[in-house]
Amino acid sequence: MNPFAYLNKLDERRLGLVMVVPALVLMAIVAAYPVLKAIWLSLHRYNVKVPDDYAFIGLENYTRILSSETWWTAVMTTLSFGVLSVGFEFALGLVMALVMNKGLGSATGLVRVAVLVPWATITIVTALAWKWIFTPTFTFDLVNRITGLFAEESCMLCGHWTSIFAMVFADMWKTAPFIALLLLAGLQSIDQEMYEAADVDGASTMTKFLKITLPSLRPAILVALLFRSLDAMRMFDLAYVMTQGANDTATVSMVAYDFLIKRLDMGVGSAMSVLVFLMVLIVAFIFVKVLGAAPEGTDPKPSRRERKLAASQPLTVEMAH
Amino acid sequence: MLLASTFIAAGCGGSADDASANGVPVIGFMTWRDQTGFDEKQFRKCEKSDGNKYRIEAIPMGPSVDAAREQLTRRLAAGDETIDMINLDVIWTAEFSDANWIMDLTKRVEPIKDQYIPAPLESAHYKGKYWAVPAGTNAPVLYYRSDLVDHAPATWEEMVKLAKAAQAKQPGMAGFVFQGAAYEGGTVDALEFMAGAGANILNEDGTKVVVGEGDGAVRAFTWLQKLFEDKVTPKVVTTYMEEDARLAFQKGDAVFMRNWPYAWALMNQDEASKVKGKFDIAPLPGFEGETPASTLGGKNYGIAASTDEPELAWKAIMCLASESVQKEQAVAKGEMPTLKHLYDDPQLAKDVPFLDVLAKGLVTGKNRPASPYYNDLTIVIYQIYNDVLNGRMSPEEAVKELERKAQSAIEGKAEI
Repeated sequence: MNPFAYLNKLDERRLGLVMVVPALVLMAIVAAYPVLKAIWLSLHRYNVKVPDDYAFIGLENYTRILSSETWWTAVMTTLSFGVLSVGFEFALGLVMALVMNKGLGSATGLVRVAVLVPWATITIVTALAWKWIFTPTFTFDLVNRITGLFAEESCMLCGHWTSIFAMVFADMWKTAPFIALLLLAGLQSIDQEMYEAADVDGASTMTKFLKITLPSLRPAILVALLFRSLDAMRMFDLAYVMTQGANDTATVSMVAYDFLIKRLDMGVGSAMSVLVFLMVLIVAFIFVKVLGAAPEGTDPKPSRRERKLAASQPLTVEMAH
Repeated sequence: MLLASTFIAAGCGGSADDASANGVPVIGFMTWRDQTGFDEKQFRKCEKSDGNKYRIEAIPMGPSVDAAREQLTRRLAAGDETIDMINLDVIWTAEFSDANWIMDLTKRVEPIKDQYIPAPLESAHYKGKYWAVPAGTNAPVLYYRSDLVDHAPATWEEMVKLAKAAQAKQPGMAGFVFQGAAYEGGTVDALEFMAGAGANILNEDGTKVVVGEGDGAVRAFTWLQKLFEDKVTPKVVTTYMEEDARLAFQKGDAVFMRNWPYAWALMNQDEASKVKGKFDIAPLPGFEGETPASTLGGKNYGIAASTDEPELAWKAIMCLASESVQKEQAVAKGEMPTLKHLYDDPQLAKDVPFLDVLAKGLVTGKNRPASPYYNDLTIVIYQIYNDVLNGRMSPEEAVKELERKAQSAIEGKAEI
């Protein structure tokens, strides 16, 4: 007798549930357990070096962290890096996507592969390469002349803002292609008839871009920005390699790493990780709930603006669909 | 049958509880990755001379002191039983012994302790007990361009004068490069500059921060900031680690450099070196009116507390830290002997031309402070040191902040 015969008797909904149980169990083990354990540890005084001194201390770790200057400096650094890097990457990525979409004749394939090379490079390698490029002793004369316009003695990694800019630059080099590819996919799914109709109406290139391209790209843009912002909030490798946190350039992840891995302070380190997690969660919330970003394949509820729009102009929306 | 046992041994490589292919216990030795084959050669020699009673298998760590410590502490805290022997950096003794990760070797070391130079031996000593055997030591030295400067300076002040004179003749050259980045090597330099001005970070028993007593620390920090103001040292040195300094000096970009002896061989051999035969080394100076000071580096061999084979591990240590290995590694790796009598060895003096300079450095050499919270302490020191170099803090502010933060660090209450 078929041991799974009973499955046939389940309705589709129940069957679905049974089918996802193994995946859920796996998720619980690799995702939920560590997260819950970190939250639990964050409520304790616990240094691996002195395992006997283990005690529940409630929210003390959090009050210590939130009242420390180091933490807020790291938050500001992380946010500055996040806003600048995502902003520049989006602008550059959009330009790259538009160029690739226009078609470069026989070079199209080559260009698409070429822009992906930085994206495929391991971040640590990227970081080391840019660290050397930004180190006046070991770099090219031309780079020194350019960086000399911004930084004292051409040393980009010797000051707070120049260091942040150097990291933004390295990040941009690496991830603008990623944004470009996401946007390119969006661009290619735009119905060409809309452009043709606009041409008939005599719309300028700028008008077409603002009224057709950008609105149609909105879902792709939001997803790209969401991914990049989440990445930026937990940036670690660039700062770790390029500055070691000098000149107040330690990001929140780096400060958490200092406590968890270097000082072996599981309590404070876990509390910091939980705070980083919350920061990421807030950013994700803003993107998904307020701006209405949704990955491909999901069926997002319309955002407030869209619902309002739908209510006020039922006919237009109907037609657009 | 033979095939089966080989297969099993390969599958369990590195585990001390498993026999190796020929049935003898495996000693897992956590040590630096060595690509030269030097270590492997010594392992095989020692196994043979001890009658093939054990087999040493290296468990590589690294590449930096910080990374190695992070890797080790994680494994030791988790009770990793594959580790039997550890190549301990001199700064780990207090932390590792306090956490009960390494074995008390007092009974074994006590009878042989008089053979060793005092400072390296002291680095293996904590709370009245010996935790390891000094296997190699190192003192930093001052490298200088003998084609541009006619004599080694006796004080830091004199060095600046010589550097400026050389810079005036060679525009574009840096006067002095050292390690200024925010990492363990920065702490080493910081402690040296402060000690060279008469300021120690902790008191004798490591319980109290005394860096603010006297004006030594302020003097050292003020002097450091002036290096940058006077362009004797370029700003980029605030990002320098050992290799950055070495590469800059080797390119012919600097008159003076503070570095470890390892750079001597590299700068004389490296194809790309532009300073072959154009440089010399001298003991590190101190400030005018003070005793010169250098911070010692080095390695001690200890036994993991979780080992099943303490006797065999001890045998292996005695062999790997023996006179003949120490002589060979002095030539091959630039790691200096810890055994006193080797400094009178005529052959070694011939093979290591700067042995007498190093011997002087070892006499004035100081260990970094012993504290189970050394790691919290060093983070405080290198961050403040780097801020001073970057001009983000006045020397007075820096010393005050150093006093406060270092004190809470050694009490195990590091400020966030």
